[in-house]
Amino acid sequence: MAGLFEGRRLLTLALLGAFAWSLASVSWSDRLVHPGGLNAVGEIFGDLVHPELSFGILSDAIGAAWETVAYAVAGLTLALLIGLPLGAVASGVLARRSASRLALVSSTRFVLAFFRSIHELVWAWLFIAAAGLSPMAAVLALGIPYGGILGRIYADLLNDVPEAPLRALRNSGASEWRVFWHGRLPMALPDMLSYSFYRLECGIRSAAIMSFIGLGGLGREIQLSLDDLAYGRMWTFVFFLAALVVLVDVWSSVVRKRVEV
Amino acid sequence: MAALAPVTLRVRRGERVAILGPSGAGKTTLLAMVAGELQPSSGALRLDGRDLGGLRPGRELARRVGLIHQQFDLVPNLSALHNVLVGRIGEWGLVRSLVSLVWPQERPIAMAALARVGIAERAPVRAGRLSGGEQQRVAIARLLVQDPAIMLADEPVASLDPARADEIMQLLAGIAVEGGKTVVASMHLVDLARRYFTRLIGLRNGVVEFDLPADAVTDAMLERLYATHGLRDDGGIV
Repeated sequence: MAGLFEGRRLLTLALLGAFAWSLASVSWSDRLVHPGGLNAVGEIFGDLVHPELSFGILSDAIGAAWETVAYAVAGLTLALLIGLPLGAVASGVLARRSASRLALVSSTRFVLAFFRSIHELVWAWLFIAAAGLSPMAAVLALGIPYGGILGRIYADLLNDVPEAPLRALRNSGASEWRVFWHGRLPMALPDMLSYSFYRLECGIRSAAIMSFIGLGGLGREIQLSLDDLAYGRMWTFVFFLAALVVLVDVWSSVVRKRVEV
Repeated sequence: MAALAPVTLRVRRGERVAILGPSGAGKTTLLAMVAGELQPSSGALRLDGRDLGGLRPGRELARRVGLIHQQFDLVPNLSALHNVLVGRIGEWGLVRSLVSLVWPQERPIAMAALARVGIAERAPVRAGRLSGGEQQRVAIARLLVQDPAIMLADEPVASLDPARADEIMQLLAGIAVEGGKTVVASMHLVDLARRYFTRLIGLRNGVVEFDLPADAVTDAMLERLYATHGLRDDGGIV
């Protein structure tokens, strides 16, 4: 008979028991929940419907949004400079001989994996420790891990294009380089573009977060507003951040329509 | 198991040869070997007495042998014009081929080829947006521009409706006659093969069953060629 204390059921019971026991170890005093917390939540969301829209705040927001976009675009440009060539090499489609191909593919894949295995905030700490608090640190911190991510995705996309048109190109006398430029790249381009735009969105979010290490932009404005308990002002900046992401999304679909079949 | 038994075929310049036979007979294997995509396990291919097997894929081979498939071998994101210009790619250096992606090179040659296949006005349209028949016309225009001595066609009309198939075969045969080209094509439509080719080769289980002028092939021969009884069932190679 499949008993109550068998295999998976036993594990489920043990986990439930551990959970119940952990509840007992919490001190259930009134300090557990911040007593003013509910009020604060009410205030924050109460101000959601009336963000501060004075001329001064709006011009601050525009300036901060510009700064955030500038970090994201500069970071993504660096990421493209890293991701495009390394991704092309890591896809292994340019090397003909299998020995050199294996060496190239595995070494570039390793480099790309290293770049993206470290979070952009950690890269930012490293660069600030090395070079001080400068915009360059933020750009490098964004560009390096994003380059690793883009390179890896590009390599896969370049590998996964249909084979028949490539065969036709080779049959017309095209070398692998030409097959790459006239076949693989055009066929992979729509997906590469839309993924890059998605990364630009991520870059805008990350650039906003960079304010936690002391750089300017929308994230910093949000943080300052929170410190002042000026929730209306905070929402203005949050809306600007959301608007930026929506704008990138619209731009992305416009560009994608132009290159899609 | 070998896809093809030892075969000796001699094709003269200007001949139009259709290879017939049931699925798995070795038609595609034979064409792939002539196209240089597949090396024969033994034996040799000669063109004008010169060994083709020694030629690496590239310009030298592209001048001798060109190939069209049944479909789906255009780059769908590039315009018809760019796809036709691919036929010139073996003649260009890398830099010129890259410049051509932005400013199409030798445009008049490609436009003349597109006009010859009857779709000059479709030149700027992306290949993926063309109909099946138009795509096949682009592939033929590409072959015209590549201008090889031998044109190979692997089931060139298999994915087209009968009317479209007839148009495309007429076009292909017309181009071959004009340019004095040799054509070798695998065909599954016997009627079209009889109408547009000078010589028919029946291939079954990798063995040549008949090799005759088109008007000498009888219905009985074709019936025997396609009979299901006694077919090997390895489903064909490649």
